[in-house]
Amino acid sequence: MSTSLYLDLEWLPKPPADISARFKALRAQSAQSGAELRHLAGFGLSELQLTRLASALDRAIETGADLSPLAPLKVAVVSNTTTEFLNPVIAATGLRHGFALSVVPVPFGQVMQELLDPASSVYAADPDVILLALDHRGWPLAAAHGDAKEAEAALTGSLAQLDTIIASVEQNSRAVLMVQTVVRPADTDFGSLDLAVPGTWRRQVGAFNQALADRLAGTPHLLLDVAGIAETIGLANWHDPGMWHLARVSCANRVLPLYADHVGRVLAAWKGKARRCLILDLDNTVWSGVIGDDGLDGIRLAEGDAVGEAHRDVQDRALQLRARGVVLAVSSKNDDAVARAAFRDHPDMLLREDHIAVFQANWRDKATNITAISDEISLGLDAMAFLDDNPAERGLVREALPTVAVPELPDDPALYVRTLIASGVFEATTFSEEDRRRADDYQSNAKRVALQASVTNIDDYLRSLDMVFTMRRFDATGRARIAQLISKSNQFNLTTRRYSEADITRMEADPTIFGMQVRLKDRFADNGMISVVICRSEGAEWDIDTWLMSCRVLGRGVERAVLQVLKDVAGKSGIKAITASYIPTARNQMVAAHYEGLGFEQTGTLPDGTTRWRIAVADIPEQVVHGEVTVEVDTPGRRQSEQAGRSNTDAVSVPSVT
Amino acid sequence: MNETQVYTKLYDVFDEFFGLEQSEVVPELTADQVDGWDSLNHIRLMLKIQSEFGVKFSSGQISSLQNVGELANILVAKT
Repeated sequence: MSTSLYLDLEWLPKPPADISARFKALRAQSAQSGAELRHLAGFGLSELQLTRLASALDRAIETGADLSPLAPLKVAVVSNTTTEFLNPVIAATGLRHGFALSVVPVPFGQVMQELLDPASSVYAADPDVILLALDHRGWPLAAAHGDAKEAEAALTGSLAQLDTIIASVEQNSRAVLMVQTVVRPADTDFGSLDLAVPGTWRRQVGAFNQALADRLAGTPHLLLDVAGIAETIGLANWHDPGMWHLARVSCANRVLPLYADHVGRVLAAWKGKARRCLILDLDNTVWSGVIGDDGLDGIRLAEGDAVGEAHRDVQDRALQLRARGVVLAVSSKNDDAVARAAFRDHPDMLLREDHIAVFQANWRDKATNITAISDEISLGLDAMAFLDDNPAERGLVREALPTVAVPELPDDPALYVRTLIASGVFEATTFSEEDRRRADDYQSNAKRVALQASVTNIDDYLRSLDMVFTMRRFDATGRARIAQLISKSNQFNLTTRRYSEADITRMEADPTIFGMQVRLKDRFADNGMISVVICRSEGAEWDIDTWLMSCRVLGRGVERAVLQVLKDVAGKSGIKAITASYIPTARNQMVAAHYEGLGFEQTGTLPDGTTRWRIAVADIPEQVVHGEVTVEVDTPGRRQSEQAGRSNTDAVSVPSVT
Repeated sequence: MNETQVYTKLYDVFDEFFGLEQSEVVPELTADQVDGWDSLNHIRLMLKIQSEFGVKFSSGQISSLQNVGELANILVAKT
């Protein structure tokens, strides 16, 4: 476990490789758009990158550019330490939270003069918010060790100073104060004894912070708990003695992006911009496994199973958030009845249907579903946070609905909750009885709502994924995974025929069988093998014995890439027509119209409900595939392979091997 | 690292910070001669160089550097 989650803001997407060039382009650009600046701030930027972004923002504000939809906000940072490094980082981070934020420069170390003198530069600037950023040296908290009276007096004196400041700010300006807690020094006075001896930093700072929080409660002023941030990442990471001596900065520059993000969160929460609805994916997010394939008994979320517990923690945390007033919703690529069964019948589920305000389990894209959820509960998209383990789903939602908060998630589900909470999307500045009841007010009845037209141009998104499909005949390398997919896939599986590894081995050598394995890579991940097709030749025709795909890559056009390769390979092999079956099961409803969608004609229906399909190879249209298709198809006995690729979006025609 | 390697890496940092051409980043170059190389950016620059080169400067080194040549010498010694 490391602190990089926090220091590098890992819940945000990593900056693209060309970020420096983008900053340079910004510098050359005369007019800045608020949306563009906000987009750039949405990455996990370093201190330097944020500083660069801040100068672009400064210029935009100076030239009076229209930065809507960003809300203008003026912040004065008053401190006993140097804030020159912090200020631009706060300004740029404000973009991430929806503000066009300008920071009023305040002379260093002039805290009381600036705040008590009605004619000071701070008051003259008329800020919306005054951030009182004092460190342990900025309050008269020091006391002789062991002298309880002096310690108490120092504490009382510090709080009196706070009261004076609050009174003066209220009298001399319309600004709201944001007061930060004090980070105690990393270096102890005695060691363990610090907690017992009056006057130590540990005791003074602890008592002060608690009193500060109590003082601010119920006032319009805001609390910024930097002591809590420093505790999370460690005091040794927070304090940098060298930087103090060099430049009188209170904390290491490395922590500034995190510090500023907390300032941004509190400002956003204060302005009512915190998230109020958590939309949950189900498979591999709320439980481990794919319920449509693994079944109710196959998903893992039980106590005592490390992976299951990690997902159970997600549920537990969702319920805690609900108790705080966060509305819960579901957006899952699943069959509605199958997904709901877990909520109704699985003994280990903590989440139940009546916790969920809107329950969208279907096969449409998630951006469309999230828009429907937002409409149904009348909360804006900027009030939504979306939790999904699948990077491509996250990418799609982020691109189609840029105001939805979509935290990046690490590979290890044990860190899902930590990452979600670290993202701070549910920051609050108040908590009331009303909040406690709010989630119930949304008539939690797991309602399913109708979808409007698709909200996004999926083609554009698919193009941006840089997908690479790799098609190969069955081989020894793929054997185990092929057999696993064949035994596990239930949903996107046209015939649900099961074959063992031994069966696959035999098929490899069988000249009447064309077995193809499909791998998919994209800019987010190598998805590995995601589809399997088996064709049996019968004279000049192929019958598709098996066609299955992992639901994880649904909606990416995999089936079209597969069909294109089938057409090309069949054509070169003298195959004139392809026939196929759809054998209905309880779980594979989603592919009932698979062949119809691909242009096959139905030739009959068997008594068991199986539908039969046929298409002439010459009638298969050229398929539009958004990505590169690499074919490594070699005919048995003549081991050759050929690769071809195209990275444009034209129909890909795939050279095959004869 | 030898001097050439150090300078090659420094070019990128100086380009990113101050938009300097390779030919401008010479041992005699001092902060006074570079637009934007003020005391704040000096510290940012040193922090960036520390992370790029994986080294740690003392505050004494950061505050007493005379010119690019001196910086490069320290980097050659430390890497």
